[in-house]
Amino acid sequence: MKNLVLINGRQFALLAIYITIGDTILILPAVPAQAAGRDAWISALLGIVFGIGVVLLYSAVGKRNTGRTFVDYAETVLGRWLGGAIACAFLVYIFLSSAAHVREIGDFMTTQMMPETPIHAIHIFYAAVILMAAYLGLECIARTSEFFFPVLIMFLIVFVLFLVPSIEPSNLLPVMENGLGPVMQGAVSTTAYPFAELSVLLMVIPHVNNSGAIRGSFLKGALFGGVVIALIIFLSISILGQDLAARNMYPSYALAKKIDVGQFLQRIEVILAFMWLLTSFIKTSLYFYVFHMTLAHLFRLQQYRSMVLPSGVLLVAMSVLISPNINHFQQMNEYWPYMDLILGVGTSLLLLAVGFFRGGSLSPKQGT
Amino acid sequence: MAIVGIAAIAACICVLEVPRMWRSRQWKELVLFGFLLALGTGISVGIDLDAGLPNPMDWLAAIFRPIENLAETTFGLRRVNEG
Repeated sequence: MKNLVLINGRQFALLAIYITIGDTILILPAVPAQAAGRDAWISALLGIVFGIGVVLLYSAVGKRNTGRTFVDYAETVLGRWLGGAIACAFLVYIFLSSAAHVREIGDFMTTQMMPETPIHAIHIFYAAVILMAAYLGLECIARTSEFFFPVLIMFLIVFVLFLVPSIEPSNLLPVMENGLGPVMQGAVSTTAYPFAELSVLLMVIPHVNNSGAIRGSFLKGALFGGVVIALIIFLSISILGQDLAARNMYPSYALAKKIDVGQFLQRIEVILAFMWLLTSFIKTSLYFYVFHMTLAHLFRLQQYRSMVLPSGVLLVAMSVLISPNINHFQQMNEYWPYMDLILGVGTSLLLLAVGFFRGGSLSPKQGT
Repeated sequence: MAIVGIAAIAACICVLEVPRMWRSRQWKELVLFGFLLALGTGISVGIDLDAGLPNPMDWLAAIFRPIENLAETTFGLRRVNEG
């Protein structure tokens, strides 16, 4: 397949922001709150620190394989079979992640907003939009993210400003009463969910037209997203308290229900739901697009568009199959961060290390 | 009833996509297309019939739970609200 699709550095930074905020804005606050209790905001800050390391690693991988995607690079460095195996694992991971994102939307809609609607109906309609985005390609997804960004920022500012008056600092005390262990446990998920999942962008890096701007845009985007996530976690803990933040499935949605300006402006949680649907939509469509790119590179296809509809059927089926109920789905939060870390950070480290030792024997023209 | 719907959707997808691939002789694409569509339709029908399909997430859990336990015992990680 030819790399005719190009996006610019700013669009790349925006995609990084959308992936970082993505579904995590609604799902994440509960996970570190379960692990670290009222110190979850420290976990979030640690997550940003580790996350910057992860982003530097990814941009180093991106720099080494200029003009080639992650999969091609894996095959060049590790050979056709071992590299192909890693690409297969990446493919399965990307696909299951997209299915899980669709399922998150379905679970959220059926538990919080439309309890009477069957979950399959929501999945099918949501998947239809994602299929369209994947069919239209990367440029279209990037432009959509650009178009909606001011709206996202406006809603975010409104959301935070209206919540600031209800912060209760006493919810944050005492700080670190259980030592560092729980904080680090929380930091695993605050690193993995927003930052390790940026590994999908490794497939997008060759499409950025200005390869010198990659690291800067990547860092800017991830940092912005990380600050937003840390802010949301901080607000969840300091307003809801650790108990409610940990027990609630969607703490930031519960948070939005608390907004009350002069007993007049109330129940604007749909703003948050809109923000989440938007970021999650762009994240899922990028995942699904990257799934097709990986498929096309792995099997040397001439075009990926014919695969979009059948894999859409598979996506809807898989999003129902992956978990029999919402509690089972929530339990994935225990091992999912490790999967993100191993498949994103672990494989990048492996490729970088092997590529470094094989050194100059790899000419850039060797890959397809 | 749902099976009829699934079959109809699969047929529509075939009508939409197969002729284009057939004309440009993309046999590899055609095979992969068939595989994905068969897998998706099969799983959909299996879910509809309550056939007790295995859950792929359980396999992932079998791989990654030991890693999680290892990481937690090695680095002394623990949860506040456990139990």
